[in-house]
Amino acid sequence: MLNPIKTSFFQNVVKRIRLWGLAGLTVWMLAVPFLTSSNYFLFLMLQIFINTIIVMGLNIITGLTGQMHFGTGAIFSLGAYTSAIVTTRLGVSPWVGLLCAVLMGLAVGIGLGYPGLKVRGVYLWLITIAFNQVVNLLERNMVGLTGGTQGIRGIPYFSLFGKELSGSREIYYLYFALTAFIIYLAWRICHSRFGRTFRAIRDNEDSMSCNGIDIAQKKILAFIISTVFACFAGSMYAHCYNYITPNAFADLSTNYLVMMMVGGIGSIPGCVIGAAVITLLPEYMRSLQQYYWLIFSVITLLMTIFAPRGLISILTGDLEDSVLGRLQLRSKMGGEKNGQNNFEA
Amino acid sequence: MLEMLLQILVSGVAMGFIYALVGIEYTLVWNVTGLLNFGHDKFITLGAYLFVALLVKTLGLPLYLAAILSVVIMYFFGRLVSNGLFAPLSNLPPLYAITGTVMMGRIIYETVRIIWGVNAFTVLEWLSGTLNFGGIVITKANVAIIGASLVIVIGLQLFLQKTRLGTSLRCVAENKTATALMGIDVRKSTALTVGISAAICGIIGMLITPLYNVSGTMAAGIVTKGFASGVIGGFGYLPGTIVGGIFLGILEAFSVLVIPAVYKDCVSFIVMILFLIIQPKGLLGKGQ
Repeated sequence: MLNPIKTSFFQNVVKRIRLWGLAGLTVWMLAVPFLTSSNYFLFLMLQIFINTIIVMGLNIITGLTGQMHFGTGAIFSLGAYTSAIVTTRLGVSPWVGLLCAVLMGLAVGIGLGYPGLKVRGVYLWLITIAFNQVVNLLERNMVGLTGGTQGIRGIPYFSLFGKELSGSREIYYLYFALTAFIIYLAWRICHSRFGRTFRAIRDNEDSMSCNGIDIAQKKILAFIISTVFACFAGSMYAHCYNYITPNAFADLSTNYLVMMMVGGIGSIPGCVIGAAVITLLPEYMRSLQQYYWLIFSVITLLMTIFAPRGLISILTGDLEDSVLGRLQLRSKMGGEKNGQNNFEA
Repeated sequence: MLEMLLQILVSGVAMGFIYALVGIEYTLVWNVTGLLNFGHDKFITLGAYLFVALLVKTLGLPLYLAAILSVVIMYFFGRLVSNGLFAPLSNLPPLYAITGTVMMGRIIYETVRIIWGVNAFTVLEWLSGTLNFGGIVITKANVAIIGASLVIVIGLQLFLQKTRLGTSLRCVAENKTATALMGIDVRKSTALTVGISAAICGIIGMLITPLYNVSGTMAAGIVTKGFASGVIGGFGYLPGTIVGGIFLGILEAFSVLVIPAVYKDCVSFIVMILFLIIQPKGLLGKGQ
């Protein structure tokens, strides 16, 4: 619902601020490897890039299409393991590993998409939880293939034009480019016919199938996009840390979900903000020590109830769907209800 | 050989009853509030910690008094959660509701970790030792699990089917609006149900204390299998959940004979996925 007070002049100003902000952010991102001497900070940025890509994928399946999905951590780990195993065992280039991870994502997406057609809501959630557990158990116990709890060591770095990108600065630029590409892709998907179809499936599946949309095909497509993104990120993870263990992937699914929901479900800038905030927060809240996770969980819980659209809804003042927004609206409209929350997930 | 098979059967049935209890506990909440309580493993953990850490280790109460007291505390904790958290969450779309319960679980886990530390501990004298039934050796823990579960299962069914209060709880699960129109306080009934569910969580926590060490993640494995038992028996249907749990326990115990023991946990998940895809109504065909 647009606020009638917002004039076109005001909107123009907002648009301009947004553009300049984006440009400034890009310049800062490009300059940051030269501004900081800390390798650790660059690695944090790499982690943000990887998380952003995964959250982009999760956003397409859960945020746009409204399908429950709790297997992101497992899919991410599958991508990482595929890439790692292919490059260490067969000795091929990491780029081939990346391709294999994407193919893995394709296969998993099709495999998970079909049950997704038969079951809905919490049942899909249960299936993906089970999938998560099975994958983690297999990775832990198939010692011959995955190295068991020891994990895989010595995964090669990406190389570009015959030069291995082993310095954190080079990796930073490569990953920045890859992430920018994926964000652009996700943005295009969101604002294309596909994105609108996904959203329509979320809002009303039956009416969409009445309008001649092939729900099954579209749902599987959404699943595939999300799993391919996650596997892509998994491969990036493997080739940036050179070393993976099953423990690193054990409890990630909740984290990605939290990133998406804290940032702003269904919104691309929101997801980027969420991924960045949740990745950086533990580093800058060291002073809270052991109380950090407790405080963080309480805040997330409160946000779930009072601002379900996440940080982005607070930043843009677009709070209609939140409880706070609903209360405001109710007082404006003299106690009338806002109607159905169309955000059925 | 026969004795070994019988022993496997008994331990399978015991685990099955644990899964069935988990199934009952979340099905109660699911039927009444429409929420899938993904924080329930932490409820179980909290029950175990209350019993072992607070009542036995810190206050030094006798074991059986501590057991009863921790169940009572868990009941009131459940009522608190129901009124304070499940009431607002059940109005939100499922995704938010699920995330809310997951976050609640995390809060409980972190609180427990801050209060009692990360080290696992155990009570040696609680349900330890074995009983010998004519050559078949069964651990006391398994006997206690089967006995206590039978009491809970039968007691709960009698309560729900035969008493006025139980009938009103079933009404709330069936149709909230109609129930409210009949003059039953839906909020109170919900609180009672969640309280019972939390009390069962407390009992599960105590029963599995001899099997697993008391630690923050002790219940993580069994709750997912609890979900599996619900799916296998028929989601949202209490007798189905019990059948599904016992079926799963026995299946899992005997699967060790066929596949390596490390993959035992996979069996239940794969069976659950198969059931969801092929027979979503469950074994008894009465699931939702």
